[in-house]
Amino acid sequence: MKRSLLLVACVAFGVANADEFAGEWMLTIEAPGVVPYTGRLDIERHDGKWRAWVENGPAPVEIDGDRITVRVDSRGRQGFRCERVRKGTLDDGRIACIVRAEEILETAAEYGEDGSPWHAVRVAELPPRDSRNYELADFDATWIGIRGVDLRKFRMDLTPKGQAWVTAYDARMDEPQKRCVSPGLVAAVTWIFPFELIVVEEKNRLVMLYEAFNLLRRVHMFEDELPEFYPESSMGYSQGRFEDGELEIETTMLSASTRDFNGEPVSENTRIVERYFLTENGNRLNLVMQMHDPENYNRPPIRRRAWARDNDALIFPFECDPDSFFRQLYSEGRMQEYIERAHMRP
Amino acid sequence: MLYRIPILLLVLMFLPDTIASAHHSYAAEFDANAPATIEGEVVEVWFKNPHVRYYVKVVNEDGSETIWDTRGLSPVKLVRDGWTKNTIKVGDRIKLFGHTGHTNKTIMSIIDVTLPDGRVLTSRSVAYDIEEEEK
Repeated sequence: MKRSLLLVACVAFGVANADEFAGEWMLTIEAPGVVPYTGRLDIERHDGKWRAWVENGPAPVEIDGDRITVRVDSRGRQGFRCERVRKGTLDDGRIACIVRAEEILETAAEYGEDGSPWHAVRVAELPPRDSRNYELADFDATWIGIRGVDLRKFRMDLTPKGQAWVTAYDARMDEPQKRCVSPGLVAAVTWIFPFELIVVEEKNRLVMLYEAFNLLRRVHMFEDELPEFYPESSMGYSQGRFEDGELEIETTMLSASTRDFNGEPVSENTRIVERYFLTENGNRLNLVMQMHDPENYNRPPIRRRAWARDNDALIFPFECDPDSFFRQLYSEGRMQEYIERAHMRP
Repeated sequence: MLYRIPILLLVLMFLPDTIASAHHSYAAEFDANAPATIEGEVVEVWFKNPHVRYYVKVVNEDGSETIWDTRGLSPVKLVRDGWTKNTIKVGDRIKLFGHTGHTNKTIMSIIDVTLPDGRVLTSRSVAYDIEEEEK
């Protein structure tokens, strides 16, 4: 009953015209039991046609008067692609409505979003983050992943070169982590595994110890120059700054690798910018990560993550043995095919 | 004995965040429309990263035997819930429910396991629930 009234309200008070949809929005989707999912929603009109992107990945959009429908594909909890259909109404500079079951395709029950609200507000109207009270030392902790936050946008806006790579990619054979090889910076940082962040102030250094694959990362603070001789790697070379209570890390000197579960490429010229900030009295660490790789992406992909402080948590060792992967290839008669795909394992 | 289960939505409703953090392209290997239950004898245990594997001998309806390659989450996730390398041993008779591979491959991604004593193990993610986080 209550939901019905809200649905009626969404329609009844929509009085805006379509042009007001254009611009940069911050999307928030609520779901039971998780921190709300958030993501950047960009809406543009070219030659009379509306286009939209969520987290800089394409999101088909229909706009009719003051009503909007956006389709956001995501990687579901089971690892399969799912799609959220978000219908809303523009009212007083805000897009909002209640999600109905028929607006969540394929894995409707998975997210439990039926009846949950969603809204979008203009980025320019977001309240400023008040991070100034935090010191770099406040980031020193063991951090445990929190459910929610990241929409896990499935498709990104790829260049022809990037698309050709993804089309050729076979995750069953080409994924580095199956061979116990580092999956690269984006995956390591955004996985659910915990990590420890250690501030070494006397050395202007941060050390980040990821449980996933025992990955170690050094962040060189307040340093402008890049080393002349430093081997490129999937974790790259990270330089950090701390301003107004927020930690920004820029990583370059990356080796060619893949970004995430679809095998989307990371070129050697990629620059990854992570912005960390604290909320909830310093007990929640938040990340917005943006990957700049114009060789492969028309728009830089965005990922988000949040962690809870838990200094009692242990980081477990992560010894990895690829035996079972090669055994499966052998049993399925695909070893020769694997060897011939060496070019897909940069 | 292999039972195809058509009620995917029901499965998903009760599925915890077990596969959320599976760190590979799950969909490339497993079929969302092919959840199944198998029952058989464990012939080999592989309790190592990146994924736990149990090789299970299943007797088919015609009397022939098939070795299923079944896999779960990373040990670092399972051990946090008390699911260790000794939880399932060679020789145990277990029932597994999960997603099977494309093109009828005898592989399975485990959603839950029923142990010989009837207990059902469903691994959960290391991620905190929001309620836990707010304590």
